[in-house]
Amino acid sequence: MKHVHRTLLQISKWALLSLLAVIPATAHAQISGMAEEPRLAGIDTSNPAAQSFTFKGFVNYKLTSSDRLEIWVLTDGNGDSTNDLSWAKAYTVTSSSQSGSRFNWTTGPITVFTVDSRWLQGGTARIRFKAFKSGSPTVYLPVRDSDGKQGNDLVLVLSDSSPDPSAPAVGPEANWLAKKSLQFSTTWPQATETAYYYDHTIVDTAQTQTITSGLGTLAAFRARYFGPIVWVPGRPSDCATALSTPETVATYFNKGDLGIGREMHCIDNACTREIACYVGNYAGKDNAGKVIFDDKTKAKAAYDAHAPFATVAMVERQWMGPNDPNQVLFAVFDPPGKLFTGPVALDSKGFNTFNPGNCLACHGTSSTYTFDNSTITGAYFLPFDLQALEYYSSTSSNPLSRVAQEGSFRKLNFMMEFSDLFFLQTARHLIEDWYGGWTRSTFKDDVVPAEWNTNTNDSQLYKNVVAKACRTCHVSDESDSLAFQTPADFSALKTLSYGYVCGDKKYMPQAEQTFKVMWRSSARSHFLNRLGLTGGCKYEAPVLALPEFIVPL
Amino acid sequence: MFLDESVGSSPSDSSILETTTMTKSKISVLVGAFVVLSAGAIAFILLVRLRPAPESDPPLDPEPIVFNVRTGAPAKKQKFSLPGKRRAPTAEPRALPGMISAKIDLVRADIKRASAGETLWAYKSEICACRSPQCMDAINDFYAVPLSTKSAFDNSNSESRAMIEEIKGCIAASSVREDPSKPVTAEALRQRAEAKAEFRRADLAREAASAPSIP
Repeated sequence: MKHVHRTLLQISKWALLSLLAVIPATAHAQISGMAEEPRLAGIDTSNPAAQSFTFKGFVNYKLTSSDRLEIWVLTDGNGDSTNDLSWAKAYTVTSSSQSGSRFNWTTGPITVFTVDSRWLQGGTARIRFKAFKSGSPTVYLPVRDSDGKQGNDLVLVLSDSSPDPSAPAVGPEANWLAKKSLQFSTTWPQATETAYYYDHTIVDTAQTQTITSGLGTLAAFRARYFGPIVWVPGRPSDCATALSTPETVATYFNKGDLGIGREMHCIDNACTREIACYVGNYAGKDNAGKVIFDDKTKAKAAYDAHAPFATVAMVERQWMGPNDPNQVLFAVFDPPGKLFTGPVALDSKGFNTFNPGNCLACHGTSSTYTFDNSTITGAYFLPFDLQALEYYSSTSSNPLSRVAQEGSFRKLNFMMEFSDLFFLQTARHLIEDWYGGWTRSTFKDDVVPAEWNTNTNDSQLYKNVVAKACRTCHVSDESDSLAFQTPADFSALKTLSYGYVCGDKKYMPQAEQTFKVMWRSSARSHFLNRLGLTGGCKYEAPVLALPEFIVPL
Repeated sequence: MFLDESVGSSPSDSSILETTTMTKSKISVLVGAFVVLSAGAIAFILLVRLRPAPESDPPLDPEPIVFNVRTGAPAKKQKFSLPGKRRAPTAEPRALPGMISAKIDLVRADIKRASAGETLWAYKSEICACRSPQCMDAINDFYAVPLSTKSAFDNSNSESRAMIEEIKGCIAASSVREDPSKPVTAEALRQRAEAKAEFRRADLAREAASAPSIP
């Protein structure tokens, strides 16, 4: 009997003492901290290998020669980071300064990319911060992005923003807008196809006019679509007033996807059930008469001189069904205002100059142009993302400033929402989020859709990659998946997107200007870190890797 | 030996029963005390482990950091939340025919030497057998880097292009929402007209309300 008591008491004491003994050790064992600087970022450096950084951060214990912090660098910054043998120790931090419960550490300016292929021009580099403390499991410290938000993988990804694939010194030629390009023959050249498209696309409900016969000039286009809005029998009594949006104009530099100046005119005629837009394109030209892209100053000068290099037009006819061929029509007018069938370059390379094919690269990423009958299906207007645009003035009283044009952009985006984009949930919800369900009078910056806003990683991935380099076009995709409606959609496609963006061919983003936006920002660093991609994202001449002494783990 | 005072002799069944009956209440108390103490200690440990960082530290994201216990490297995490509208997730892929499965195993076993076409084919086969985002995540984690380094996504190659389109189709099909809005129906057209009219009229009313009154 006493044995029973004693034994149970002993077990209780043993259990209690053991657990109490474990408590301080367990609490003590937890290493925490952060690598604060540098951050997930794109950096324009003429010589990444010589680039010095002051690495900074903190841990929750005093750093000494044994309880240390090691900085490890991937020996091939563009290579596979999953192989532990590909990492080399570059620096050891053995001292820290205490501030409250935190022990701050800093390296001072050091260069850690000096050997082999750690960080090649135009490529990416990876750094890990390995924290050691006796009696504790080794951990890698988390990193931050420029917003101060924690990265996903415990690795710092730096990307060199120059050179980028829009200015290839070597390697494959960038074929911008290639996804919607067609091969033409000498017997049926590109201009012939455009003319055929103009000749066979009807304009009116009576089917008596085509683009060629009815919209032969910009003046004719304006006369047809931008005249007074008048009631039409069979339509609601307020179709000309409450239900329509009169001509609305906005002027801006399209920094996000074309790199040209634009003066946009749109009208929503609810009586004829047509939304029509035309836009004057402005840019400087070189001595050969070639358009200079991505030069805002020259674009403004062309705008001031009232000298568009082309005017492009688009009409959505809602009296046709959303899935009907040629429900949306495209037309291009030359500087004098005459219908134009020649090549239209939307980037410096001019790989795809076929109109309307090159428009479709973005206006409906799932759209098709059927060569056999010259018809378009799946084309859409695009919303106006005010953060993807730049303005010719920052003075709010200037009519060309964003502030002065907020009202116009709101009207334009209203027209866009109630175009057939209405049927694409991702696009519709995005526009409504921008304007708070049309309760806001101004565009709301940095909107993250609810589906993407459930955790920091998703929202930062959205803001730094999707919104900057994918959304403008992909929002017009008829597939929820390819419209990147949710983070899971984007993640499911990551193998494809990684191959398209970072592989040799550089298919994505499809537009030169958007490519520049992606490669000259921190987008690649976010893309790799936040999607858990373990490879690099490079664009540089291949070099021979030098032998390197690798410190074993 | 734990039940008898006389070590070395075996108690009879009746004596054990008697002893047990006589001390049942005391044993219950001791066992209870043991359980309470153990539970308290475990709770204390959990509290210590999960206590928030000191206020002087900057706020860290609440997402847990997971380590690979073998290498100490960051382990793969489930990176994305699942939207509520998706089908119930099923992590297991559809079973593939034995021949295909065996061929995939060969590609996986020697992924570095497999050709771009073989790797793309294996990826396509596996991703198209997936029925959930979790499954796709795992497949993507394996194939993303090999496919990219092999330049497998070559749109100028018709075979590659066809496989890419099939892959996109499989991924899109797996994410079809329960309530697809396409194709556009007459009901959807009516809803658009109603929504547009509602917003426009509300806008005009707001404009009228904010316009200065004419004396």
